[in-house]
Amino acid sequence: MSREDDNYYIEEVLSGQTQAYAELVDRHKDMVYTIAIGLMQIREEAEEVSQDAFLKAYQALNKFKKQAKFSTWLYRIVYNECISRLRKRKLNNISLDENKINISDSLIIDENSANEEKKYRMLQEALMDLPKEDKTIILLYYFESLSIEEISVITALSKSNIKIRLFRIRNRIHEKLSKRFNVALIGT
Amino acid sequence: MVDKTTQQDEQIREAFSDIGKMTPKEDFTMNVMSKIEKELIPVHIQYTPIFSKSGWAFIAVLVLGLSLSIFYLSPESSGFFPSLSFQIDLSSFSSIINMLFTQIAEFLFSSEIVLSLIAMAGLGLINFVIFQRINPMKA
Repeated sequence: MSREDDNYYIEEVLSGQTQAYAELVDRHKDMVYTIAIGLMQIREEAEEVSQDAFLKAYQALNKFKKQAKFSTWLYRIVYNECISRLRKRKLNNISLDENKINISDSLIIDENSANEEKKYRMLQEALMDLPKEDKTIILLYYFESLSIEEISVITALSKSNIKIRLFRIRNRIHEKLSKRFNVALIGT
Repeated sequence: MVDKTTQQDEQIREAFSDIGKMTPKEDFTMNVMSKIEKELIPVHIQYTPIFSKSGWAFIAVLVLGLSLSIFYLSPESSGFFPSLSFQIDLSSFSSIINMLFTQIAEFLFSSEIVLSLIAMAGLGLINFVIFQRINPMKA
């Protein structure tokens, strides 16, 4: 098993080399955080959710069957953690309508680089007005180039449902991004 | 239609690739690792009982059997257990076997051995219960 393979580090962790988990965190933290920020919208919360997801994954590492990719399994944990937090947020009546967040008013506390700031705004803009399931599909399908089957495992939505959702949002997201990136619209 | 979809997909992927994934704070990995080290029992430490459930059942039956046999086989036994006061007749065995069996029987039925076995079984049971409760993977 090569060091390129996530399973190499999983075996290391399971044999007692706890520090090997840092490599897995480093490899997947960006995508985990991107999913979390796409769904939670608040960076501090997204960071907390991402950390919790990595902790949960660590605790359950010996239950990981290796039938799927480690990343797929990890994204499912992140997705579930986000959904659970969003439900709690709703139950606690925190008035944070995720579809109506004004980007310019969103919480920007830490001094990230200007580039990070730009990325955050663009991502929020692209995903704005989309239901959480669609946001996840977009992030996994376009950002991570996952297959419909893998997305189905992560979101627990059927493959046909994902295909329908993709079909429905493709034009919308393309239009948004085309305006932003001056990409010529196909068929227009 | 397929071409349009494929082209759109490619353009969206390109746009997302230009945006790039979000990056958490620099100390993200360090924070996760310190939480793991401080708050969690390492994942590889898992309690595996020395004896299986059937093993423990066997030990329990053995201990119970030995305890009861003290009362049944002891000639001077009395109390709430009926005393049968029969003795194992070892005279028919050859002298070596006879001696061996007698010694084994004396050894096995000595109160020290019985008490030790009961104590070991009790400690093992406590150990088993405690470790099963604190094992995070079972929680």
